Amino acid sequence: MNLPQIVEYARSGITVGSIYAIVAIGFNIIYACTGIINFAQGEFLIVGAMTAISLSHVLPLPAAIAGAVLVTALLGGLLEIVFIRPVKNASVLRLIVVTIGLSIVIREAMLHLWGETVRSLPYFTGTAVSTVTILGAGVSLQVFWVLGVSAVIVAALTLFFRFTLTGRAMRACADDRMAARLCGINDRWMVTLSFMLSAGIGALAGCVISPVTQTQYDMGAPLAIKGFTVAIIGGLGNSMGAVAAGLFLGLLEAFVTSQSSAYKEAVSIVVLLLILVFRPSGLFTRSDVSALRTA
Amino acid sequence: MLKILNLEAGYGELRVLKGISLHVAPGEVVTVIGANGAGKTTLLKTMAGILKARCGEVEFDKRRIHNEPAERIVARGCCLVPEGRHIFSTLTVKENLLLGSYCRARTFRPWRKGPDHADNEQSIESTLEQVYELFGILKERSGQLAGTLSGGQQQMLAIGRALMSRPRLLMMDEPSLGVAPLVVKEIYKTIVNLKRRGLTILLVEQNARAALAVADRGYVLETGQIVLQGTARQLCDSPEVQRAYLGKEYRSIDE
Repeated sequence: MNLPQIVEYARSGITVGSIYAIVAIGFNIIYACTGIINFAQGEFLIVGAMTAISLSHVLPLPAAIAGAVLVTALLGGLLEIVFIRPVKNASVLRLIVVTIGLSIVIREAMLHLWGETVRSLPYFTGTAVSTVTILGAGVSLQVFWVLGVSAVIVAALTLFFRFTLTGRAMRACADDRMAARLCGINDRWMVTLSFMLSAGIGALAGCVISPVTQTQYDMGAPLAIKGFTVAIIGGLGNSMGAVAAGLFLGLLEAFVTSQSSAYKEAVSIVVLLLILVFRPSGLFTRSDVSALRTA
Repeated sequence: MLKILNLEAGYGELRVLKGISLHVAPGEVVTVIGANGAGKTTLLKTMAGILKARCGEVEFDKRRIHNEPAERIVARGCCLVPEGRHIFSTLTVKENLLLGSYCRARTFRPWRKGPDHADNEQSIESTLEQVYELFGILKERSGQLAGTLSGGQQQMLAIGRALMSRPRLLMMDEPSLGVAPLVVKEIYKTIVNLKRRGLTILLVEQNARAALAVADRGYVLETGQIVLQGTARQLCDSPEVQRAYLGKEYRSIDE
């Protein structure tokens, strides 16, 4: 392998890795608030991208993406209110099964709405062939959009959870639901908010990768599996861990693919199994925090 | 201020409260004592809106609150310090306290109108100072994760967090549970302190001796029913209370 090749694989690893990280963060937000793993998370990306593609025929690109994020966030909130909230005395497992059902329904609905056609958003800046040369390898401008948007999402979320009252209230709900209610926090609204937030973030991620990976109605499930793996590696509920784990898995996949593309899909599953067996709390979980959680 | 009439509540098939009536007047400290499983915690949880009442009424400030969700009851000024503290252990001490005033912060709450509810950050800040004054240790530890505090400090944090909502009625569920004797003393000193400032307190305790020492009146709860009531003095002198809760005839184990 020469240098440009290495840069090329690293680029592709970092690009998909940061998307995995965003999907994982979507898992984390809902998991932290409710203990549910939302398996419809991958679908939110595709709904977002598809909506943006449709809107982009009538609106300028930024407005189309903003609209898609809004629509998907509302859809996420609506699904929570209609399908998750009314399930009485629900065990977490039952709710997880509900989200699996939802993912299938959303997927089929998208098949009806948008068909099997592979679509994509236009490149945000320049065209498919405009590149920046780094260490002898051409890197598409869209890659910088993916990285930039991911970084902004992570930073904004961190600030939101740390410094705003609503963000703190969401963390409080995650920590101790009853105590949160005794503080006057409406926990049902916080759960709805967590679904809206992660649906909106998913939609944004779906839009930025659409030019690179294209978008088809059934691409959500594989993304959800990768995102789930990353969430587990990073430690469920840990956003910074998700970023590190996303990049780790993305790079690992890229370099394994460089040797033999047959093993690409196996990589994440093998890593997932290893983590679950040897370090189920995740690679990057702060041990003091996780000790407090179980206490 | 608080009036409970024939309250019944329970979990599933289990009927825990079998028709409870009691009242608390403004400025009073009232205690409910009883053994394990008597229904003390169930009583408080039902009043705070965590559990649904099966029948009966809870009236706070002449308003029926037994059908309201917990978060609205807090906003009305009736706040519970739950048994076992239930602090947010992965949040810092200060974040815990600030969340205590969540119902006072400006958020979208259509059921609360009027200028007197337009609490601003300044008044929350001044309540925070008052709580720090009451529990100096919380100020020292304000940046620390709450879960790393000792049991006694966590209990103080739980009380401080409840005070952040500026309640008019403070309900406390076994504040002395699992806390070192010295700290129990300090917590009870705080209760007396709060009483002097005119706060109305409903104190539920297994530790009858400590509770009756600070209370004006008391109720004795046994298997979901009030079996005895009176002033703290009367209860202390009652032979039944002495035998069952103060351990006068038997050798005391824990004191």
